Amino acid sequence: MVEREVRLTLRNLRNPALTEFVLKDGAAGSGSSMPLPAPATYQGTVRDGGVAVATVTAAAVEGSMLVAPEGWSFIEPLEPQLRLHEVEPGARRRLLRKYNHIVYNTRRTAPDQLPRDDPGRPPVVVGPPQPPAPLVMSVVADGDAALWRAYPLDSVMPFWLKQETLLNGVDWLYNCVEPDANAANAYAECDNQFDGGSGAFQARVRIDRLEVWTSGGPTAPTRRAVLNQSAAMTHQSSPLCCGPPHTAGRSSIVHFFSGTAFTDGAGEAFGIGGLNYYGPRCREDAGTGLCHHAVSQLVASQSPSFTFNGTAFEQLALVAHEIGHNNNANDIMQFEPVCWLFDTQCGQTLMFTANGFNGEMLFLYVPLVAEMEMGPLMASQLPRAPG
Amino acid sequence: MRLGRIGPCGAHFVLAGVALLALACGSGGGNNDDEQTLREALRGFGQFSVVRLDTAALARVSRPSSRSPCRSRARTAAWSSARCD
Repeated sequence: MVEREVRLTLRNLRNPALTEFVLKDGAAGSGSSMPLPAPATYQGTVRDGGVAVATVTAAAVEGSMLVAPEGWSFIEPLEPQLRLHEVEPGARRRLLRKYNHIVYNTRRTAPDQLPRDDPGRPPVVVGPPQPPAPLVMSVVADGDAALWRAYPLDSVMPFWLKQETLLNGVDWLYNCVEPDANAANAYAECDNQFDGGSGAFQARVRIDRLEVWTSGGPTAPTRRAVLNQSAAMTHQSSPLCCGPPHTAGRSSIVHFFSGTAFTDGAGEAFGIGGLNYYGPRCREDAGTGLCHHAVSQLVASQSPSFTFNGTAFEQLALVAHEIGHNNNANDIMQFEPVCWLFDTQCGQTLMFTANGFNGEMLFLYVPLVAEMEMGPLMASQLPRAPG
Repeated sequence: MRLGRIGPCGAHFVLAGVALLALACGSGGGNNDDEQTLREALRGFGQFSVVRLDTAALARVSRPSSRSPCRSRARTAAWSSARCD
């Protein structure tokens, strides 16, 4: 048993205007909002080298820690997993009296088998590599009624906290953060090899909205159809809820977190390079169009045609994979090793899913893709961070 | 689990490794049917441990005070090395 000392800094990803989460009742054509509890997303460092990213509330801890030589380890609450795997209530209660969290190392996880989610279209051509400058990647987090049921408000991990927790992981990936370097929760030097940052971009996640459909809304059984529905419906607000319509169009990305076990694959992005694009091509089919939307399934697959286990590790990997497509990264078709922990651990990139998300997967994009395709698009589409 | 303050804004807590190990994977007795149910339900995780954390205490010491934005310290065990043999 190894003890690690972790120093965590609160990392508030919320837009200052984000003070409530939104519940959209598509059946009634109405909506409501409820006050958000204080932010509980943290990032930090591990003594003697390493990084930790976690949500810590009075009821749950969910996040990951990257240290040498063990690699990448996760912790997540047990309660949602027992419920989602339909453990009967009596056994669930007894087990939850004894245990409340699951811990695991990604190198020892069960592998997925995923179908392709990339139509093979070329990335958007933008320009030459750009020196990384602090940018802001704003995100609207939406979800379907199945997400509402999978992560209800009385869970230790309600839907909005799950959304926020996963986006905290994305922030770690995109901001190349070295939290110990900056106590002000601002941008740090992107020189920490633990984060695997290639130095090609530096974007901080800002969450603009956390919302979910409690009924109605996108309900299709396939990822593609839900993605199309999300592109049409997430932008609805009035009369559903909370302010003028189409405010989601002002955000760089709309990510749709689904509690549906899709029949055709776990996630999909609306084209390659749809970052910050909300225009006429959003009304085309996701297979041919372009938009700032993507969808990720969070629950375990029920389909015989693919495997997705729905662990926090796989959820984060999938979300980061789809946002990678939004940010101009294609799938990597040939295995190309990427390394972190000062080159002591190597494996497969986030964008190589031919083997699914498995123990070989690291939370890294291929440096050349980040430099030549992702970085230039992000520099052209995202605003500079204030200050 | 031991818990103690170290200064006005930080906190220091230790998840004792031995105690955590005893809790992991149902060692130390319990309902074998439940343990089997647990393993079945979580088989998609591969190799894992289950632990009991005092999350309320963790949250209390992790949250910065309103007076100071200083960071918290947490010393935890088992994240990286835990496994269910």
